[in-house]
Amino acid sequence: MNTENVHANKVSDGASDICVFVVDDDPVMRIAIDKYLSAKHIRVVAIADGFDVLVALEKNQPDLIVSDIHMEKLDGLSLLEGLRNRAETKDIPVLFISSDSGSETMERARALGAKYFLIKPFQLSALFSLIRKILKQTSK
Amino acid sequence: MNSESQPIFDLEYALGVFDDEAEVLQSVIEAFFEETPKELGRLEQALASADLEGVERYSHRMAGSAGMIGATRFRSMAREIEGVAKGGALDGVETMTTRLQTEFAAFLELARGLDWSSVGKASKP
Repeated sequence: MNTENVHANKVSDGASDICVFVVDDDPVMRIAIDKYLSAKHIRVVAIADGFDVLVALEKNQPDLIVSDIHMEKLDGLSLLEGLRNRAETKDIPVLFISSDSGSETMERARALGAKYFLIKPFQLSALFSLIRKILKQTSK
Repeated sequence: MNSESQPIFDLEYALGVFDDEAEVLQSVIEAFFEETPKELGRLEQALASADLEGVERYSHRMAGSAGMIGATRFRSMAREIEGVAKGGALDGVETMTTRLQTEFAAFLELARGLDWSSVGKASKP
């Protein structure tokens, strides 16, 4: 795992113990989401590739994974497949963020059980609202 | 829409993306300034080795982050390069890459020249 690309922000005021993995191969996107969600008291673990999620899972149990789809080593859809095949990770909700809204990708994602999507570019407040909605649905 | 007809920096749009948090936006733009020269280098390398997949990947990635921070013309140019590579060719991509570098410099000049204290929530009473 590339430690430069994986870091956790501690919750400073204890307002929330929510942990979200943000998986995107674009460092600027990771920084933008990390800074915004951290200000909303969400603990963010920023990860550069789907492959590194498997390593990060050894240390953290996220309430939600926000993931890009197209990544070099392990793409978002393969990551989802891997998560669903493991008893301890099969119920972690996954929200896909991608500029690829093509029907082929969407169909494949849905076939794998993906439910949540946000098309890039998006407003960060929309991401935050959707995260809250998903966490409510999944009873966090 | 042709990239030329787009603004270099759409600050209003970017503030909308960042919920009017100018300080956060400014720090993310600085991250963009730090990361993009490396990405442009990767794009050039991919182009030199006729690596279609690489050209598509790096232009796609730069378009994504540029879209968040209001670097509209840069984003549009990067999307054009991505589209050409996706089509299976690299015709004209060298010229387009040079233009992408010019757009990056133009965006940098505008964003760094901005009086950030008068932007977003922080500037409001």
